[in-house]
Amino acid sequence: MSAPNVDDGLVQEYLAECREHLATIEADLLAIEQAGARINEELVNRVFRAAHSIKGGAGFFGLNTIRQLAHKTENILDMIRSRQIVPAPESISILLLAFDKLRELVDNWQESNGVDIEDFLRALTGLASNHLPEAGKASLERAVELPVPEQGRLIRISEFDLGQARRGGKCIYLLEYDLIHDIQRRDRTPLEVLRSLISCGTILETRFDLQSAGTLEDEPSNELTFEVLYATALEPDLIGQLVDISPDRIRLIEKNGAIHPISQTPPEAEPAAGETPAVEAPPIEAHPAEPRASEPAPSVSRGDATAPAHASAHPAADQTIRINVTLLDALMTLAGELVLSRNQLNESLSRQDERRIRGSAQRINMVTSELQDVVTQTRMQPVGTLFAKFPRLVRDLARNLGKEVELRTDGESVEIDKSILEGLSDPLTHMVRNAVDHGIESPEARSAAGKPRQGKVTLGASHQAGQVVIEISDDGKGLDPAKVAAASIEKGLVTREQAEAMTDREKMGLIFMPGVSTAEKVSDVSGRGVGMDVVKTNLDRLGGKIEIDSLAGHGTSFRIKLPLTLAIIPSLLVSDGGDRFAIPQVNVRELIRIREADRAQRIDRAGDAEVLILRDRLVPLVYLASILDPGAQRPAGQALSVVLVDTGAFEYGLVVEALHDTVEIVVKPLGRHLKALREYAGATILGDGRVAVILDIAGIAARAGLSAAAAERLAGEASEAGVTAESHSLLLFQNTPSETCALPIQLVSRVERVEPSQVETLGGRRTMQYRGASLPLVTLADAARVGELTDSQHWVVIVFEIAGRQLGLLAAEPLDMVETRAEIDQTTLRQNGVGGSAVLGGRTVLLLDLPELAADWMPAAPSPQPVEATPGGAATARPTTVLVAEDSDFFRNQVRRLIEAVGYKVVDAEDGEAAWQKLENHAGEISVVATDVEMPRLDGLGLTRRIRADSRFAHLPIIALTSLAGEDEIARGMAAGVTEYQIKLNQDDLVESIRKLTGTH
Amino acid sequence: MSRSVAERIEESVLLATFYVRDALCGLDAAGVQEVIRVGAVTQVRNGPPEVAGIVNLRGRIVTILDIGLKLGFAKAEPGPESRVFIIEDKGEFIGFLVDRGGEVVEVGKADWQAPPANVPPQQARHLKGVCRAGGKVIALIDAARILSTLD
Repeated sequence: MSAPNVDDGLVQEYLAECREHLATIEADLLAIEQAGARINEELVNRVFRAAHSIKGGAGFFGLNTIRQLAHKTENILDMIRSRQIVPAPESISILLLAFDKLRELVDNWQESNGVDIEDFLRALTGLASNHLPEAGKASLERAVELPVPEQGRLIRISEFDLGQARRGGKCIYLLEYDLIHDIQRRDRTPLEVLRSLISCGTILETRFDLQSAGTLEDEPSNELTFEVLYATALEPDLIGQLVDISPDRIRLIEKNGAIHPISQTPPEAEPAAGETPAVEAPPIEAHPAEPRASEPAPSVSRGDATAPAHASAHPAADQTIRINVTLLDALMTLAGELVLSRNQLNESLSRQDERRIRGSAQRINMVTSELQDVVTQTRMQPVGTLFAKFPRLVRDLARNLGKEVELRTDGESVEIDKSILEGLSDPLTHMVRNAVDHGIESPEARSAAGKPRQGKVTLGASHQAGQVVIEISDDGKGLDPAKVAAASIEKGLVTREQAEAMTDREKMGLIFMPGVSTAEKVSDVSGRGVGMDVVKTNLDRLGGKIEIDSLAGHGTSFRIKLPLTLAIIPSLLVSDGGDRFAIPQVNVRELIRIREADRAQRIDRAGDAEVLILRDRLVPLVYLASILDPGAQRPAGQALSVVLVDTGAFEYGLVVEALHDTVEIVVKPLGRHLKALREYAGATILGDGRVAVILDIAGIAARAGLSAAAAERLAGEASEAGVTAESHSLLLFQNTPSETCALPIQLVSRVERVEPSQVETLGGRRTMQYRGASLPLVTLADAARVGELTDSQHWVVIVFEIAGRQLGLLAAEPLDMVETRAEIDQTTLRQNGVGGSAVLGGRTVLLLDLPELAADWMPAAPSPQPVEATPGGAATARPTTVLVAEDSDFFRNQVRRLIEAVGYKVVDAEDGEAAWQKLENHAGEISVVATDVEMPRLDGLGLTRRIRADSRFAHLPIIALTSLAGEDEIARGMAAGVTEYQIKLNQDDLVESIRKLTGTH
Repeated sequence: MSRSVAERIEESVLLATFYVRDALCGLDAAGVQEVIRVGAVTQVRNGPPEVAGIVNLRGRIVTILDIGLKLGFAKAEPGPESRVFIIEDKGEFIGFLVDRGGEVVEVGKADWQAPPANVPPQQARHLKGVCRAGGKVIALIDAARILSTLD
């Protein structure tokens, strides 16, 4: 029997309710299992009620398979509730599987009646019977048939159910609803009726009598009977309060099996025994049920546990979304405002009133942004909905693998776009599985390693800088970089030489390449050599990034960074060949303009491919024009606009014709004829109504034949190639409107606006109140031959620290920050306090020499005395000598003066090779080396390695000087043998470092 | 829409006609959502040759197909007279780029016949038949067929 003719909306309502129940059951069951014998009745009741209402509705809709299965689970839960069964992992497993099946049946409810659930029923029945006393066991298999007087028919019910229902002195009723008169005409729905019944008792059985409806040929019937067998504590005189039907249709089933309407007095315990055989024995007929299986459902317990909990997506469930009513109200209000604004706009347009048109446009602008915000919010779902499936997954897996694993989750309330959340499900499942399977060791191995037997897997979500970060970590055995590298070499993904040159972190990163797996034996669960690369591909598609961190013996942790939403994304607009394209901002790292004159210097060829020399790296270049039109000629001899993009796996430079703005775009899918094109991620409509295609950065790389391995290899070669280009970050400011000055940004602590009136002149010196203290102020004109600031300029104070004292330099806006490789001219404009000049953006900029200026500004400043005679008197008469290697003349001179200013002797060199020569020439003299990292011929790291490898110099402390050191860079330096990293031109720290390393105090 | 044409060919059917190069062609008017001028078409390079580009149709991205190419003509060169016939297929809007719009004509059952034998097979494959109306021969395009060859 398929679902009878009930309106589809009702079925949908029922199904939605079922899904809701099923969604919470799993977590509750796991909690019940945890609690074991300390039964939390409320929890069990909740699951029981859920199973119960699924059963109730199923009976009504004729979904018999669902009804049967729900009914059996309900029996078990009832036995747990009454402490007849102590929850144990085995019994909970059976329940979990049964509820999985129920979920599947509910999702495919139309076919559910044809599904074979015999295995599940047998397992559940077996479970019940194992926990019943011998005498009770038989009741499971016996059905009772009770005669209904006046109707000449029998109702059939399991003796066990009847017995369970009667516990606690409950009464059992047979309720006969007429759908038309009792329900529809009273404006109620069958579900409401069922719900109210469930609130006060238990539904044992429901039956929908199709026969009574008759056929089309018959007289139209006025009745549609719906029968409910109901157990409740309500006595016959009270049942009428709950059940709003005629007392004739409420029948009480006496303990002796007699059935009579409550409107009639029961046929008083007839004294004449033997007159009614029913009194004798309630079971009138006993039907042996199916042969019982003593082993609980072996056929269903495997496999299912390791397959994705419910792999087939719920089509209906995924199409709908729950929205907070306040959000909906907000949307409604905004829609109203939008209509209002449109009307205003129309009116203003017809009146040609430009002021009002502008007003309306502004209003529409505002409403639109708000609308966008709210709509985005409606798509946001808490990560908890995704995390919720993992306790079960971890539990099942751990059981299968004989491990003890605790799963902790954190940050469930963090919200993320629905589509991202869905895309995250598979990768996350894979990674959690990996953590349990490969990460966590067996309890024995853990004990042996001195760890608690129970392993811990943590899943956390948090917001960081406009992104959502998901972290999966375990305290297992960690990832062995050597093993990953070995596996990659074996697969031919890297050569042995490449692997040897890699840092541990780079080696670990290899697990994201196709085919790499370190699992020694392929298990059911994972380790088939497919996996992390798929995880990565999936995450790339979501615009996510993944990082790995692991310590052998202590655990592994993965961090996934995801954008908040995919629907509206900030993007960079570029154009090429007359068309505009959008590049998602998350992929964009840097915009680089290469002047025509610099092309030869900045762009090199590696074989057939063009590469961009970017700081210490070689970055592959891809011409958008040749991707889009393979026949296109590369423009020669003109400036290039390069977008440095990041696929998540590697970076490359995308050459475009022109760069435009960054805009927020709404992502729209491409039609099906264009979906297959990997180089496009979708399309969007720009402000002028035209369509622009969104570029898929990873897809373009694939089309260009770039791969992570190739890009990384290139990056690795860069340091050997002797790249000289190095950039400096400068803060630009005005002295007088015609004098632009610059300072290396690393020296600046803060910049603040200041009013001329805030500046006080005391004792011929300028100061201002700053953070509760008096800050001495200086101007450039105090020390150098430059103009004075005027009151008409917007003043700023540039705060820096020198020789342990704070000093404020008065300057003027506009401020700017540039990263430049410009040549520094150290002669033309050189004067005291001005180290040189450079041409930046068409302006000549004075580069200030802060140490020189400071000497003028603070003549009384205590100059740090570096070399004290050693207490013994046999002092090193010779001052400590520092070897400084730096290719930029400007910076070399600066550093030298900084160091000499505190009394050390400096030997300088313009590159690593020269430094090595000087080192050999001054052997024994030099006690510390300070080297730039990026230099031609031999770079700082190369120099470091050479020093470390030579027994004469291996003991020397080496300070690496850098403009801005990234963690990776520091790690590389440390690996090469660098003792310390110091920021270039930070005199205090550098001097402190030299002192510490040479022991000169 | 193929089904509906087949059914209604029994009686009579309204055809939206247009020219592909010099050939007068028709589509079942009931299946045509609207006819638009060729505005700003964005080219999708590396796409199938039949895709002339994509346009914005009131916030939807619509793929424009050069059906002339499917019928064996050279690549279309959109001009001021070009039109796009928007049809709905599998829940998606798709535009057929044609060289010039024509009238809507009613054709009766008796007017139908199979494509003549001398129509090149490559062209005939995409036609449901031909008919005569107002002294002209109209080739009825099999839109479903054209679309399915592109899937």
